[in-house]
Amino acid sequence: MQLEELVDAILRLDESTALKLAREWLEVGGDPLLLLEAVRRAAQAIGERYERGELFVADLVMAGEILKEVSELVRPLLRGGGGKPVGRLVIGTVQGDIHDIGKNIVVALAEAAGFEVIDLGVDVPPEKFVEAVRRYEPDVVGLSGLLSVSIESMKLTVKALEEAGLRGRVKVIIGGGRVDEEAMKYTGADAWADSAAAGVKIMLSWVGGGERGSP
Amino acid sequence: MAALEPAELLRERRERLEKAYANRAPDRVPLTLLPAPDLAASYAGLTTEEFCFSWEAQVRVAEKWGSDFNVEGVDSLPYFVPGLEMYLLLLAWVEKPEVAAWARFLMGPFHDILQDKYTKWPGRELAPTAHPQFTGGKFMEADEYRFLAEDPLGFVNERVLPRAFGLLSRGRAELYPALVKLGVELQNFSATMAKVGSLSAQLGYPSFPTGWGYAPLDLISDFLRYPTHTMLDLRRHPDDVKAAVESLTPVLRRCVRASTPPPEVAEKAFGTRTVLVFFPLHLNEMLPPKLFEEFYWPSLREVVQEALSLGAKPWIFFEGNFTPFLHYLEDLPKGRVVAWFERTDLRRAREALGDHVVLMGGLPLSLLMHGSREKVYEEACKLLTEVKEPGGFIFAGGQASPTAATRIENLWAVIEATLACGRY
Repeated sequence: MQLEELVDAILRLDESTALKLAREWLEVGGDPLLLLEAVRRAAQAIGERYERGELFVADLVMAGEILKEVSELVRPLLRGGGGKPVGRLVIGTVQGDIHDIGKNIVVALAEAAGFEVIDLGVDVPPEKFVEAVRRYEPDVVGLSGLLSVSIESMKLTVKALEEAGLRGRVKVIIGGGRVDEEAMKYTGADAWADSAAAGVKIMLSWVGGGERGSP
Repeated sequence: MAALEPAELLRERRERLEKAYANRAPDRVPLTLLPAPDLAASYAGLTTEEFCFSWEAQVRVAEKWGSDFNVEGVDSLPYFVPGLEMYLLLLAWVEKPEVAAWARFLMGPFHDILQDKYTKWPGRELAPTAHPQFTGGKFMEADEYRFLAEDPLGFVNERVLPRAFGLLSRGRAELYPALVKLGVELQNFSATMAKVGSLSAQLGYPSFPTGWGYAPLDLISDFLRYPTHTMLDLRRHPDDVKAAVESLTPVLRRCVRASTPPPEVAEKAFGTRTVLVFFPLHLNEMLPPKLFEEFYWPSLREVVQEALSLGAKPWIFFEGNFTPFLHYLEDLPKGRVVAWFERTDLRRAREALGDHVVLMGGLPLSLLMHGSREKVYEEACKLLTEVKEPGGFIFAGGQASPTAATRIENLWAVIEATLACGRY
């Protein structure tokens, strides 16, 4: 089996075929790292298709699920976690907002794209982001929010990072259905995305386009 | 400008809105401002908790906004009840519409009594100044679709409600008095709405009676399976989902009938024959066209059709960016539907649909809330100029409800822009 078939099955969102091909690959002793690399390629291609308007949110959810399931088949076979991550992301839904569907799609796609993700959950106060940045030293901080009130919390979180002297060490991206250029300027973030796919693409460009993670 | 008498204002504003709803051009574009609960409360000097849990506070907030913004340029009471989505109860209790109608939105006091797992509230699960939030949950397993399809009302009442509402699994000693209390609170809500309605009329703002619609797949997604599970179900269990959607559709048509007054009744009670049926859509922009066509649109169209057959005007909120799907609206009869767009570009909608639907919408929220007054005025004027023709446009200020961090002067900029650039 060629891994391209697996990538194709993922891009067609054909869950059962993708899982079957991944299992077959591992059963005949295929390199798990190469399989993981195929997952990353698929994740990137999914993102590109979404950006071109060929895929919709429900597709990203299905893709995220397949990517997660395939990655989970591989994970137990890898010692040391599966090669070097392309980067580290600390993400959370900001204070006052408890919605997590969008954030969870980002987590699934970012992990599939090779990020190590630390998910702080929902309703995360600024000080918790500060603490997590100190502790994990991520490349990127992702601030998620669905409500328009969350823009205010994003601003406070960026401010808290500044006051803690950490702002210069991380890139900050805000994401959610109601963020835009204006919100980015207002909050002091480095980028914004109203889709998980666009967000992951931006994050990959910050950490070197995913190249560093190739096994 | 001499101040108008409230009765005269009421007549003028009602006629302006009626014409816009009828897809015609009034003297100018009507403006309707709908502050989110946290903004509504903080502007009136209250916490969101006080606003959400005190009936008296709700009247006070309506009065504060209604009086402060009672100027030429604003056409409806800048107020919306601080409730969260709870269409499930209208559906569950549709056989008793006199009760169900008041349970269609979940109000704070109902949450306290019912202990639902769908929502979180300021001063309860959240900080007192936080915004009340609907997060939903999964209250049905994938292998239960067939029970839903067999008997939607029975399944929802017997299986789902006890899982989703903590109260319903309590002992009778707790349950019975709580249900009595719920009845009292439903009555309080109804009385509060009557007060707000008469206050509104006294101040010169018209009210339009409103029935309630819902997309069958959204009902499954919002209240039964949770959105992400529903999206996966469409691919993993397509036949089960389809069967459930098909059997929910007639029930949702019935919900529309049960909640929508006929135009003759509306005329007696509200002085208008314009009756709206509000549809808040959620999955509308998230499905790829193939799934949209298969699972979402046909059943929604049937429910919309039910509203039309009652002589009412479907008023549909298209959450998110509906641009790739605009052409589906051509399926609906011309000029009889109000399409309230959130992030869909209104200019593109006008271009694509012409005067096929009445358009409603506004500025990007971050601009409205945080932009400079000048920029807000300028963009509002541009939008009005480019979208208002040939009529049938309702300006909502923002794409959705502005929240507490909003610069109030920006709301005034929107009003000024409406007066300067909204005339026909």
